[in-house]
Amino acid sequence: MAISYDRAPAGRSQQATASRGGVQKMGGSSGLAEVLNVILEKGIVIDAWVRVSIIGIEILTIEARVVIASVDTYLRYAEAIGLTTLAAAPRTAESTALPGLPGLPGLPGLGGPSEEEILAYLEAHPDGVRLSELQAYFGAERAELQAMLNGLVQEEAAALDPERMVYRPGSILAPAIP
Amino acid sequence: MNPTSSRPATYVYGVALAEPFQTGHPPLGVPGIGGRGDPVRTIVLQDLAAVVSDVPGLRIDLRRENLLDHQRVLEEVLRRSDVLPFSFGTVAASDEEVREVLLRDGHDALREQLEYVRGCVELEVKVFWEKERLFAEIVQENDEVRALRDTIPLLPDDQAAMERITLGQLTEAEIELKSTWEADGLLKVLEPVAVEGLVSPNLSDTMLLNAAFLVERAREEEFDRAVAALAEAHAGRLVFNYVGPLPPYSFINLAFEAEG
Repeated sequence: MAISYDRAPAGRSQQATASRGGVQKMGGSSGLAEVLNVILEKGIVIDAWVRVSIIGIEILTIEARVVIASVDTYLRYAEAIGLTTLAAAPRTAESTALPGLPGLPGLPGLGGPSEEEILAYLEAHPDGVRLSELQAYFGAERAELQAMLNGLVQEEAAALDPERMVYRPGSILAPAIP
Repeated sequence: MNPTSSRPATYVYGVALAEPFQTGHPPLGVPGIGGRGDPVRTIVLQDLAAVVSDVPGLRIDLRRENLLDHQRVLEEVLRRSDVLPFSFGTVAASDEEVREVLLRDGHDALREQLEYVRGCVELEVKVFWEKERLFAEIVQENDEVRALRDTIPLLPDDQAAMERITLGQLTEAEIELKSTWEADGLLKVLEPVAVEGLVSPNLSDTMLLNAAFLVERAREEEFDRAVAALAEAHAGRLVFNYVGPLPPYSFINLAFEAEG
């Protein structure tokens, strides 16, 4: 069968909502956002009869993201890489033998962040991180995070700036905790 | 309302063979575009039927309701018959124009196109990376990326800034490579079940496949299963957006000349 490639410039862009496996087949009306580019750009077109009027108050909410190959984009990627776990090890022969799985040891577990992950995040944000930010990022329980941070501060792996109430990596000089 | 655009006009949804809509067959039970309850009807010439409805003027607002109306009418038609869909927002000045310019002048081209898509529907597959998993895999698979990630936090600020840009460039290149590789693998699975595929540019940097497939109605379920199996195999790693059946928007190759 034939595969062909449409070189036309990209129109709107869309962001999928994450789902845990499986796929729901949507009809064209319920999946309207996903087929917008098709309905507007494909099909039979008689130029002189195209009368679309963008009086334009209400259009479907589409998250428009313009991808610019710029320093900004590179820094975003660097940040994302910086947040991957420090515990991830290079692929070994054993790990690639796992049936049906891509074999990735050391991924952030489902049971909340590890100390390494918290430290990695602190190090990626040397200006200081609030507890609520950690909570939002890791989606973890506040009490659990607080307990881990207390432990890290005691070990001096992390430090708390009591004036601004932010945490930093312990390697950076921080005001003494009263 | 602009007076020059308020002459009643004819909105065109698509073109089908006339037979499934002729006397003896029930009328289409779906309302026409515009929210006035205009009946969807057909304009017939020989063996072809244009699926149309009245609209109050020559302008169609790009609004959600109108897009939905357009899509719903075509979905209803598709249940009953093959149909060549028009792009959203096609309005002819009159029924007469539809009959003469579209159906008469375009007859042979339309017949040929209908023959090409006979018995087929369009299915849309868009595939996205789960972001966290993507970056974790890149770190796993690329030694240079991993090394930079580990050393940047230890560098003085100005040097770190430079290295971050390098890291970002490397990562972007990896995303491109992985996405192409992954998309090729998915296409290899879906190709054999379809008549034709059209791959379009990805619309965001976490999208890795943006494809439309022309699939025989008789094989639609098989295609469903193929997509479901892929989604299952990549659960937690890739996200699949799967939409259909649609009339074959992406597989129409017609050029029309018409006066406005």
